[in-house]
Amino acid sequence: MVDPHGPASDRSERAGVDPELLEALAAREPRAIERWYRAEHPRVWRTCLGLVADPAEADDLAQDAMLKLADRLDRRDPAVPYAAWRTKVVVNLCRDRRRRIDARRRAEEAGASERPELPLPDPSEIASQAELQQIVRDVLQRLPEREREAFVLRELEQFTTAEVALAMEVGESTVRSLTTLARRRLRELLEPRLAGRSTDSGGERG
Amino acid sequence: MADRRDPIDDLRALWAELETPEPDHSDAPRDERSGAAVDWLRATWDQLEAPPVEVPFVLRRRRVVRTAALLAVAAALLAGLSILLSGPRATDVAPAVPDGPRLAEAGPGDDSVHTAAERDDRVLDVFPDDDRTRTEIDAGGRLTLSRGSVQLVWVEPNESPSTDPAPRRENQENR
Repeated sequence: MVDPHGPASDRSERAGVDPELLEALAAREPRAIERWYRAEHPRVWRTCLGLVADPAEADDLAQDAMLKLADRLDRRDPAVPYAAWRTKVVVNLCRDRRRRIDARRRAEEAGASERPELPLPDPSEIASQAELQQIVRDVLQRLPEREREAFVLRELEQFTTAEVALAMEVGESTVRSLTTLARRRLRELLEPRLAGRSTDSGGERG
Repeated sequence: MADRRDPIDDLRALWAELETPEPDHSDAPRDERSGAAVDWLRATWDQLEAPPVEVPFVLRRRRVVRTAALLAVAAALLAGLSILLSGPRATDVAPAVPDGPRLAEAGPGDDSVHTAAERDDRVLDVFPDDDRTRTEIDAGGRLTLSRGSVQLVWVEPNESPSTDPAPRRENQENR
């Protein structure tokens, strides 16, 4: 059976961090903090974007998360894997921020007309990062908070189930159930639009 | 007589209405339809690029300041430990304030005067406070105060200090 998450080496490369860099940080080597920041910021930004489903907020949130992580680096429990520790800090920060975002979003949506359901483009044909971010935002905002957390961390960022459970402070079976629910919801949401894309591009339709 | 239902029956009825939790299918092979949706979203997600990153100056500075603060705390702790290990001296006298000529004082009850200060360009000299002061210097150069009080003053070699009252070296016996 094909592993839906790809080779294990790919997963660890995406989720982990260079152990030598962690040693350099612990030794307070000059410029280690800058190397760490540049290596970690893209991952943290993606996680923030997935969890809050708001590109504008993700920029601010990622910087706040990086500062918070930097502040706690020296006090990190070495018994907890680095990736799980990092993700937990980011998840907690995003949860706090999301309450404010959700309140604002509800206010915006109350006065806005319903957006039309456009067919989804082929990912390789999406021209700009802004368009990509907008599509991801539109899709992920439809998922309930906990399902979105589990789905983004497990399916998109491809952390292990154990790492997601640690970050979300739930059991592994809960992570599996939330991920299953999110997949099902996405299928209901995206299937008609994906079918529309196939029709537009002359592909087959079931 | 009123109908008195057993509360346990209510609980049983509620229990019977509970729905079975969602089965855990995530580790099972995904069905083709949900797989297509997830694959599309993941392909889109993988094309996302994080914005350009600039390391905040505050982060670099905070790191440096924290290191300096830790060093300062360590130095203070070492200094405190040193004082604790050497033990308090009953005759210790606080050194003079840096901007004044007065370095230390001692009275007749004191066995000795201790100063931690050292200067390369000045020498420490002893001056009586008034006419009643009596001091003695033994063969080893040790000065004993037998009456009154004295001041310890930094002076340049071969120079008299400008203290008030003016020091009167002639009051120091055996000198």
